Amino acid sequence: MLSKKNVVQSEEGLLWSFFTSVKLAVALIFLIAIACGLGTFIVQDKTPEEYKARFGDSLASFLQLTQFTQVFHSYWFTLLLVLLATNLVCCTIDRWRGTLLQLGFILTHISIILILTGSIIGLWFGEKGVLWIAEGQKAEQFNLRNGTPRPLPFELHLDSFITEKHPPKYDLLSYVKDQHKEKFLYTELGKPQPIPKSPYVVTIKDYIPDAALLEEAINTSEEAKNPAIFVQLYGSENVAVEGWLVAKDRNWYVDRKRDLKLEYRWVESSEELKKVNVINPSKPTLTVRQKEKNVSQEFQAEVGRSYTWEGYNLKVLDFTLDFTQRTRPLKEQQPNNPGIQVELDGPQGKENRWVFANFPDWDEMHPTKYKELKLLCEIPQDISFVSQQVRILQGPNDQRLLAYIKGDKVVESFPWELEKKYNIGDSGQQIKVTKFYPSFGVKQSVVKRSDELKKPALYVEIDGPRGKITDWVFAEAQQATAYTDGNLFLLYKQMGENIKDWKSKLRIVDGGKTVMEKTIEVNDPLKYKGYAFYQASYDPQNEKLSGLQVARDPGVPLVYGGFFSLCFGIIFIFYIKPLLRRRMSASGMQEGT
Amino acid sequence: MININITLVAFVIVSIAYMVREVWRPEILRRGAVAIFVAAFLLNTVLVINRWIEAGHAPFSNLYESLVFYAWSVGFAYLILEYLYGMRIVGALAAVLIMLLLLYASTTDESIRPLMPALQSNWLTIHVVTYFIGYGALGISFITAILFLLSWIRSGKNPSETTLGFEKLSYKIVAFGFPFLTLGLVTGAVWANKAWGTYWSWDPKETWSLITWLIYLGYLHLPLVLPRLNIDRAKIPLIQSSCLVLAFLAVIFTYLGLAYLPSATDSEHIYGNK
Ligand code: HEM
Repeated sequence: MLSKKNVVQSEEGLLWSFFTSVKLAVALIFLIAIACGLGTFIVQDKTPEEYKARFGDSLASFLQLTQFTQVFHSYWFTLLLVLLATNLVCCTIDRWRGTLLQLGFILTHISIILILTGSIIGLWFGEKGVLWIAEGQKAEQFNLRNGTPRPLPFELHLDSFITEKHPPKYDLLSYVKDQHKEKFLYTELGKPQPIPKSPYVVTIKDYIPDAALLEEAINTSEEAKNPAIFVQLYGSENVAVEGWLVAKDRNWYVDRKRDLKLEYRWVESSEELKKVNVINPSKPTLTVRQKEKNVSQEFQAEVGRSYTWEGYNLKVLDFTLDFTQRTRPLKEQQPNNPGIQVELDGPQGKENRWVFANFPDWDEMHPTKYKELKLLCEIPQDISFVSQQVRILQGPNDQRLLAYIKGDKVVESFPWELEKKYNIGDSGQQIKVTKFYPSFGVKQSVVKRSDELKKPALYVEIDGPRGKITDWVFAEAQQATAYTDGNLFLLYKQMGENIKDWKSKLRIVDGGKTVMEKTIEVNDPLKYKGYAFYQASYDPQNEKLSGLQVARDPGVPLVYGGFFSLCFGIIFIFYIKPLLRRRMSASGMQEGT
Repeated sequence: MININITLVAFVIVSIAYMVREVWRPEILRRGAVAIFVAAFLLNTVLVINRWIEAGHAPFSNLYESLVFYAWSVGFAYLILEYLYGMRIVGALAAVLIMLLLLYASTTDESIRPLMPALQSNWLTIHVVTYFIGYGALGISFITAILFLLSWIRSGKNPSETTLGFEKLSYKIVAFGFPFLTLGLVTGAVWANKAWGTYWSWDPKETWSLITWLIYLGYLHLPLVLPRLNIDRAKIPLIQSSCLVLAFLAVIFTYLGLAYLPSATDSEHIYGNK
C-alpha cells in the first residue's frame, strides 16, 4: 500500500495526497452544508416563469444556468458528493491499520460510502410514484412523480378504505374586535374568565353535548297581526304532511308530486272573500333586451307561444324546472335549475338558446348569432303546474272559506271549521286545519337530545360595560355570538385535523391468485416483490378514494446498512473508544489511531 | 398540578444559587446548587409526564410541548455532563437557557390537539427524544463556546489567560451530543421511509437537520486540520468556538426558524406555521 510520507512528489502522489487530506474533507463538509443552505433559501424546482416573476430576467437565468434552482439534482452538487466519497475511500485506505481502536473511524467512513451508493442505486434502478385508487377498484399501474404511468407486475385491489376519526374536540374562542385579538377560553363550568386587556368576563354556565334549538310556534296576541293556520294533509288515513301556513309570509305549499297547491289568504273584507278564484300571476316570464337600442320587453313564457318584437321572432320551445331532468314530466321535476328554451328568428336566421333563471349570464358566455339580444327569465318560487288547488281564506269577524279549484275553475267552496276533515275533490286526499293563531310567533328554546357528543352548545354569560347577557353558543354556528356592544364575539368550533388514521385493505393478485392481503395504514406499508405501498393521503372530497405512495427502492438495504454502521461507528468513537483507551492506558498499552 | 410557572420560578432560583456559589463559594452550595438543579429538573420532568398522560401521546406535537420538552432535555444533558465533567458556572447559564425556553413556552398556545396520522409512530418518539437530548447537549456546548469567547475578549484577546479550558470542555460536550444528533437524523430518515416510502426528500426541515449535522461534523474534524494549517496556534480555539456558535445558530434555525424560509410552504413539518 502507498504510504503518504514515502511517495515521491509525482503527479500521482499529489493527487493521492490531495484526496487523502482531511483539509479537503472539512472543506467539502462545509461546502456541502452551504450548498444545502442555498437549496432552501432559493425555492427549488419551480417553472422558469416563476423564477422570472420572482427574481427578474437576468438573475433568474443566472440561477438556472448555475443550477441554483435545482441544487440537489445539479451536476456540481453531485460532483461534491463524488469528491467526498473519493476522499473518504482514499483516507480510509491510507490510514487503515486494522486495530480495534480504529473500528469506529472505519465504520463511520464506510457508512457514508454505503449510504451514497445505496441512494445512487435507488435513483437509477428504483421508482417512486403515486396511485389513487377507489374502494372496490383494482390497479395495474401507477404514476411516477412526473406523471408517466408505470406498470405493476401484479394487480393491486383496494377492498375497502376506512377513515378513522378522533372524537371531535371543540374550542371556545373569543375575539375582541378593537384589539384584533383572539383567545382560547377554558370550557370549564362556572369559572369566570376575564378576557385579558378588555372589560369582558365570560362565564360558562351550562353545557349540552348534543343540543338542539327547538322552535315552537306560539300565539302572541288575539289580534290578527300575523295570522297563521296549522294544516294537516291526509293521504288515505294518515297525516302525510303538516305545517304552518302564514298569511303574510310563506302562505303556500306545493306537494311533492306537484299535483296540489295549498294557499292561505287573509282577506280584509267580505268583498275579497268572493275573489277566491283570482289566479296569482305565478307564471314564468321571459325578458328580452335589445342592447343597442336599449329597449326591453317582458313576455309570458308559455311553451309553444311566439312573439314578434323589434324585427325578431321569438318562440318558447321548452320549459324545465331542472335542466338535467328536462325529459321527465314537469310535475316530477324539482325547481333546481329552471330554464327556458327560446328560438330566435331574425336577419341571421334561426337560433336556439337556453336561458337559466339562476345563471343569468349563461347566454353571454356562449356563442350566438344575436349578440345584441340579452335574454333573462324569471321563475316564481311558488310556480306550480298543478291541476288542483285548495285555497283557505279567512278574514275578520270569523269569515272563513275553503275553495277547491280544478283547472282554473272553482269546483266547490264552503266555510271551513277547525278540526274538521274535508275531502279534496275526489283526489282521495283530505285536509284539516287544526290551529289558528291570529299572531303567529316563534319561540326558541334549547334542549338536550342525547348524551353523545354530537352538536355541543355552551350557555355563556358575558359581563361587560353594558351589563350581563346570557346566550347559547352552538358549535359550528353560522354566526359568532356577539356581546351587546358588538365588540366581543364568541365562537365555538371544532379545531384542527381530526383524522386519526386511514386504512386501506389491500389485496395482491399475482398470476390470477390472491397472494397477499394486508390492511395498511400510515407508518405500516404493504411490501411485495420489492414494491412498497404506503398510505399517503385521502381525498377530502371523496371519502372512498385512497391515496397510496408506491416505492420500489433496491438501494434501501445498503442505505440502512450505512445507517447502522454510522450509528454504531459514532457510538463506538465517542462512547466506547474513550473507555477502551482508559482501560488500555491503565494496563500500560499504547496505541494511536 | 405542577404548573409551568412554578418550574420557571424554580429555575430562577437555580440560576441564583449557581451565581452565589460562583461568587461567594459558600460551603452549603458546593453540592447544594446541583441538588437544587435536580429538584427543578424533577418539576420539569413532572410537567412533561403529566402532559404525556393528558395528551395520550408523546408530548412533542406542537410548539408548546416541544419547548417544554427541549427545556427538559437541556436539564437532562446538563446533569449528565455535570456528572461526567463538572461544569461549574455553566449550570447557571443552562438554567437561564431552560428559563428562557419555559418562558417562551408559556406564551404559546398550550391546547392539546389530536395527532395527525403520520405522527403516530414509535419511530417518531425515538427520533425526537434522541434529537432533543442531542440538542440539549449542543445547547450547553453553545454556552461553553460563548463563555470561551467572553473570557477571550475579557483577557484583552491575550490567549494565554483564557485557560479556563472551555474550548476543551466544548469539544467533549459535542462529543457527547453528536451521537444523539446522528441517531436523531438516522431515525428521522427511517421514520420517513416507514411513513412515506422515501428516506430522504430534501424537505427544508430535513435539509437543515443535515446542515446542522454537517457543521458539527466539520467542527469535530477541525482539530485534525487546524494545527496543520498555517495559522497562529493561539487562534485555533477561537475558530473552534466560533464554529460552535454558528452551529448552534443553525440548530435554532432548524428548530424555530424554518417558517421564515421561502420554501416553508412546501414543508410537512414546521412548527408555528400558522
Ligand atoms: C460521517 C461522519 C464522520 C465521522 C463521525 C467522522 C469521524 C472521524 C473521526 C472521529 C476521526 C478521527 C479518527 C480517530 O482519531 O480515531 C476521523 C478522522 C478522519 N475523517 Fe472522519 N468522520 C466522518 C466523516 C468523514 C468524512 C465525510 C470525511 C471526508 C471525506 C472524513 C475524513 C476523515 C479523515 C481524513 C480522517 C483522518 C484524520 C486522521 O487520522 O488524521 N470523515 N473522522
